[in-house]
Amino acid sequence: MSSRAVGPEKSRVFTFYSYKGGVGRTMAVANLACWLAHRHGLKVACIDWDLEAPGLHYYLGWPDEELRTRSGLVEYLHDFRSEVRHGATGVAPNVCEYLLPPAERIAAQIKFGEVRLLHCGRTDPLYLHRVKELDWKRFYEEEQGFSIVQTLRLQLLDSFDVVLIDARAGQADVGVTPTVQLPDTVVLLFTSNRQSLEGSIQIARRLIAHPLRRDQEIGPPHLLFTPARVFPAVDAYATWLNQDVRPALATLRETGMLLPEDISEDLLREGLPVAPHASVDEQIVVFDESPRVRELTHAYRNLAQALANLHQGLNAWTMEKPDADSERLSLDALKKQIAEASQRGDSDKVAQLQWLAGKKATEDRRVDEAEAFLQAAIAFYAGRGSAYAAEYGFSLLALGDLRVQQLKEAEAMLLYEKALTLLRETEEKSGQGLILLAMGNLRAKEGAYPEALRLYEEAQILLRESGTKNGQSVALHMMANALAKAGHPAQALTMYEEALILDREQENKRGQSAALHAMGNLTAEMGGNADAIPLYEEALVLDREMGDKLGQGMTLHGMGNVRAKQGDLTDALRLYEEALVLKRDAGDKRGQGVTLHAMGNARVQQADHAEALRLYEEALALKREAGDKLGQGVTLHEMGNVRAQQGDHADALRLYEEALALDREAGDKRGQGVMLHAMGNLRAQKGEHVEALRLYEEALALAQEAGDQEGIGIVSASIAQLRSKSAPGREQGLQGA
Amino acid sequence: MNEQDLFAFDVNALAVYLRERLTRARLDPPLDPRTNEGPPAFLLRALRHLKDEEQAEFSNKLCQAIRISFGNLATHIAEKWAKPSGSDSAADEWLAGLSYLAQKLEATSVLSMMEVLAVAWLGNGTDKEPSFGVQHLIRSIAYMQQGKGHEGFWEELWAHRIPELTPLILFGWARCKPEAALRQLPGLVRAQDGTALANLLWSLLASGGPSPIEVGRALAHDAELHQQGRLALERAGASRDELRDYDLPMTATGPAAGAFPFPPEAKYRAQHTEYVGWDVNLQQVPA
Repeated sequence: MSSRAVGPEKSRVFTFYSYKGGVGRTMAVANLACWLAHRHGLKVACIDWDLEAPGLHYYLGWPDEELRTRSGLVEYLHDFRSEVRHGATGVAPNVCEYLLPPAERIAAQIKFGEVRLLHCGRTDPLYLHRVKELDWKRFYEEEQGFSIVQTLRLQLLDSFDVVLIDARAGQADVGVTPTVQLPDTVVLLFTSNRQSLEGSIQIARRLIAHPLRRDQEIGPPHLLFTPARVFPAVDAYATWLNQDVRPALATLRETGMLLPEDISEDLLREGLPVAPHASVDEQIVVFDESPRVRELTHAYRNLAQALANLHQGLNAWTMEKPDADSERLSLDALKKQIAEASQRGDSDKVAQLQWLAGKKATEDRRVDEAEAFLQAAIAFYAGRGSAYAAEYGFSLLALGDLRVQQLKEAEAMLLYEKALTLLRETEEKSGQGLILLAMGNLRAKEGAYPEALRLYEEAQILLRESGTKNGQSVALHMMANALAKAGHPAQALTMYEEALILDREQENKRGQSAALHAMGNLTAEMGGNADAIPLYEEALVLDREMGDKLGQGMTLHGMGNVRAKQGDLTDALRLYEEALVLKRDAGDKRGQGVTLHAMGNARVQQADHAEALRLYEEALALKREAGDKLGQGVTLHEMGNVRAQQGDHADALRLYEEALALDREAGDKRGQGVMLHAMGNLRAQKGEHVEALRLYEEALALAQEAGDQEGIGIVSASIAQLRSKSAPGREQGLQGA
Repeated sequence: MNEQDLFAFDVNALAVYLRERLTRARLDPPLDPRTNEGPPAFLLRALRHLKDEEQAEFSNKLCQAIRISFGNLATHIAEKWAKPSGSDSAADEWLAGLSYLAQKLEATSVLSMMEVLAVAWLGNGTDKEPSFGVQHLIRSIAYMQQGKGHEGFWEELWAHRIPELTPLILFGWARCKPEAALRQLPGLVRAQDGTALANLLWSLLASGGPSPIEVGRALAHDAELHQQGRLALERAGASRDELRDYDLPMTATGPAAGAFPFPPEAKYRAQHTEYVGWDVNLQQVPA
């Protein structure tokens, strides 16, 4: 990329060139100008430099007859020549006086930014005579044409963010100025035939080596090849790309002037598709999302995004994936970027960065900052109509995630639902999938696993359709998790296996490790303790490769569980100890709590109740610190069990009730069921059968609500047992008592 | 007489009507200099009221009547022109009216007769000031001519050097063969000034004549002449756009050109720029 050093750092002047006419070049320029203004808030000037067959004005709502007396580009150049004749007393004409706004019907759709047209010139009968009077050879050789054109460029860039030039097709002299001297980037549109492709490549070579830029030391322009008037859906298109286009472009790679593949590849793959409905009359379709032109609209918008990125600067072309890059930045770095963008007046970028900063702050648990950033981004997007629906939706999703963290689930759910409605409008499938996943998580958290599974499944379909493999794998993980929690370990296992395949395809080590770990848990749960160990070991290798201490800790903990089940409590405790150290290093208090709890369990099995209680206490304290209410419930439950075993039923009941309250707070219906069952057991042991039955029945209802099949079985068995113990005659009496 | 009576006339009756109507100068001036509208306007208005097929038929009849009228007029007027002090204001009005009508009806079948009449005038009456009728005759020929076949006619007229007709002849000649006519322009600009030059250039730019660009180009080789022409056009009331077009062919070079106050970035290395068109540089560009 060394040659890029001589090229422009930021692209602000884009020339659209096609070797042959009829590729939709003018239509692309008009549509991109409108979208760059409306969507990216840029001030855009577009120039009709197709002087012999001008037509850009039609797209912006100006028919020929209305331009008969309105001066444009040709008059500007002639006026400038005339002023140059006056020497030192001459005054360069101001190009802004030659610009036209779009007609009202077009302008009404452009809510932000600004579009101005430098049309070809007065379209009276003498127009072509005036064009002929521009003798380009003389213009450059004798009339200081280079300086005139440079001044035009300076004037335009003084008043506009971006300049789009519609250049003449072919290789005429008139093309030198717009294609060679003016542009920072040349967008070469070509159709799917050899003549067009080879012509474009030939032109590209000439542009790179053109003596004008070399002599003026302005370096060659960047090149962006975009197929136009294509049918990307047909197989032949992909074949043509592979067999003709990519090899041809590869021959230009060495020049260093082609844009990197990560930006150009998507544009190549999608191209500017043929849209029969858009081919009649001069149309601005970029605001139209109806199915008849949707593909073309989206292609224009993608190309506009690429141009907007190039306008931001060379390193900004990675911004096509803003998440990937900016998400790696720290919150402070994001804040700095926000300040910079704000200074530039780039409100669009500010909002995008605020959204990212909000997400980052949520991750870092800096709740107040997250709230402020996200609310600011939402305020920006909310007032901007359907063009920003996707961004608005994503910002609401992020705010929903923050609400989840603040344990305001109901509010989160409302935000997710609103975000989903917005993203459904935009047909942004991957976004919809992510929201459904988040909604599923909320439901799963409540213990409503069937509903969670339905949402996950819907999410998975959308993510598959949008080709988001990473998202699909996440959905599979979540579904498997929900299935496991809902008491379907075999189905959960199959689901994890599917996720593992996807994760392996994508070399996603974290996903693989998580799947293997969960598969180990499930296998062990299903009684296959020996089979679980190799799964854990495989996960452990991956965790070590990633340097993931927390992962290692969790896996060792799982292995400890297996050893405990196999009856080797000493080895289990050794593994737990090892896990505890790693979790402590990783700063995972909740995890430490879980492991200490498991160590307590092992001690219980060893009948060391005192040590068990001590460990449980320690676990409880850590879980409390981590705000893990569900975990606290589980530990209190076990402590209650120990106290019950020790014969202190009152204390046991107190502990169970404490656990129940926590489960209720956390909305864990399954946990509540378990706890009520345990309390019922205590009552039953004490012979308080009526109270025990009431508790069992309550537990059963909760287990049913949570779809906890295992729980339903256990509680039903307890009820049956209790009923069998109660003689029919006694029951009446008991009830009376 | 109303329009229906007029439509019912045969060709001969129409010819008689034309003569009567066009020569009643005092009551009904054939060409009012204030409005440029004369009795023919009545005929033209009547024509417009007819349906297409009737229009074609009546128009055809009218053209034949004009042809007959020109024949009658030629015999009558040639005699007058032959006399040293001969003038006939009624016949002059008749000539003016017929010429005007012929042009409006695009009666190209009478064009050759009109040219013959003009040449007849050249042979006899050039020592006198060209009459109103003659001016209209030549103006109508200038408009009605098609193609380059009339080049000889204009050269003949030009050769007689009739000052009153110079703008009109130049206009007709420029419509027929612009390059030949415009070649005369530098000489004319040198010879004339003030209102005369303004009239000359203005009549040259009249509808359908050479464009301001062509006029500008004819004078562009001499900055001083070009400037004189520009002042004359300004005086004649040329619009800003017309003046701009007139200026186009001037090259932006000259002793002062280097001093133009370009912004510094724009001037960057510009003095070393060589022409860099595609065709010129194809050899320099690696394949």
